[in-house]
Amino acid sequence: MNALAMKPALHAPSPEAPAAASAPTDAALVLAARAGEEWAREALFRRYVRLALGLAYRILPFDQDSDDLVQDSFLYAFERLEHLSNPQAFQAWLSSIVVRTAGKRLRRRRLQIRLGLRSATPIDADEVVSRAAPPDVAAELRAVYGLLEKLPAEERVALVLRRVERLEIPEIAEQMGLSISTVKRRLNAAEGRLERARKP
Amino acid sequence: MTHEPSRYVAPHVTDARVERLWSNVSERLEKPASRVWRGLLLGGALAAAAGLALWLTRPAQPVPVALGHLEASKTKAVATLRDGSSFELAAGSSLDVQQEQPTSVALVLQRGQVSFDVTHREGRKFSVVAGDVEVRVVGTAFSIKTSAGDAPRVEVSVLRGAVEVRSARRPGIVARVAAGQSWIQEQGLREALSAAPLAAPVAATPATAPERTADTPSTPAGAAPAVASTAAGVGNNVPSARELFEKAGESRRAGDAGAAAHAYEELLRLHPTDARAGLAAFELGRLRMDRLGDSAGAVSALERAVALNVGPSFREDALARLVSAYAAQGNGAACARARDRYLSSYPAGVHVSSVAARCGSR
Repeated sequence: MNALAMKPALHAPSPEAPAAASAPTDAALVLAARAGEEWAREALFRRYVRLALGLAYRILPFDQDSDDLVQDSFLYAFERLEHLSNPQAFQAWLSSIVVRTAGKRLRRRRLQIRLGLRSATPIDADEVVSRAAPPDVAAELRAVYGLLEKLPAEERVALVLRRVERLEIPEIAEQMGLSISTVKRRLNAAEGRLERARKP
Repeated sequence: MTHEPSRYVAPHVTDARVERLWSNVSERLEKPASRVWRGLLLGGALAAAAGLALWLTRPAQPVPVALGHLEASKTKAVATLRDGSSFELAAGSSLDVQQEQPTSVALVLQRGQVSFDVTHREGRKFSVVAGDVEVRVVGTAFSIKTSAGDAPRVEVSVLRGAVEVRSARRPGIVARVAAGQSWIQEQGLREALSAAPLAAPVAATPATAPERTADTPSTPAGAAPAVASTAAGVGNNVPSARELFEKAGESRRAGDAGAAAHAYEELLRLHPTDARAGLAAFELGRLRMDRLGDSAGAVSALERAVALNVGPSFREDALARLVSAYAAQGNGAACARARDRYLSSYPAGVHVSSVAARCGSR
């Protein structure tokens, strides 16, 4: 995964991001983690776990699912730190891992549902969307989350990144590891379903 | 004004949730087998004893003990008594076995730290003396830690069951220490620390003595020498539980596991009833187990975490880790008990497969 020029979906300021000038940079932590320093891995984890949880939850709005997704994403990242070409881009790289791992999980889950191995769990949009949201934002978010479980995995992820994370199409393509044209097709399909769902 | 929609779809992320996630991630990143072998290579297998020779074997093979003086010089020693009870003598510690009969076991901790898992035997007297403190046991798991120097200190921590503690400084007074509690006697503390014991000592009639409920030591109160209370905030200069918890976290992130463990220990000592105590005990157990190579200390801390009712997900992890810690100690009986406790509590738990494979056949 190349994350060099990518704006991460984890774009909110991190509560545990290095506030002081003396705090180690992501690059320093990545290099130390690559050298086998557990404290560096832990520092990276603590720096970004809340942001990763936020992103995971917005794609898979169930606490247990998002916990599993975040754990798997950090494990994947820590085991493949050697593949991160720009150590300072850890945040963006982690973000793309969360997005792509979420897509895989969603595809697997849909298959399991089709095979009767698990039942679909509807998303309670009123539960997911904060009561503090302004009315217009809440209405859009409820419409999105009311539809998500009916969407194929790629359409679902693309729609969340677009409508909730507010990413641009090239950024979504980078996060998902798809071409821009594919993302456009997925978004068009998802937006069409959203439009139809809104009609009385 | 623009609104960022993502702000309004946010999970509830608590510190406990973060700690649990990190615990799971770090555990899955570990390679326990390689660490065991590294420990074995570094630790060696033999230490001298002044009086009798004690082979310090790998934890899976505790050594039957005989009368005499035991010394664990550079690495811990695990030993078993004939009744199946076992103990682990920490590195740098020494202990005398004065009596080992079916009706009476008498041990004297001369220096350092020892952890016991005592098999229940009706009518048998099992006592351990450390300095002027005597601990009498029925059937339990507990540890005694002594510190020499200007402020000699004896700490008794009970993991399971209960013990009775007598101090020569308070003749005729018996303190009953239950699971999850610690009893500490030390000198040289500031007056503020010695001023407010949380509970009165239990009278010397164990059969009728009520069991204390506080997670604090029952400290013989009275005149000097000062007996420490672990009450929270009894001194103006005592760091708060929050400060200690944050200090531990900072030390961990800085890679200083020893300092982190010390901060958690202080939190548990000074604020044993604080809401963070259970999590602190769990983290302390994890550090001792994963970073400090102290399986006896890990057992002590993890048992305490369980006794303190750490949150449900931590409790499951703590019970699973206890199985590994007892296995690392070579304490097969305790390992099997811990394994069965986990499996009965969490028959569909996330650690079932790894726990079920521990401690030999069921």
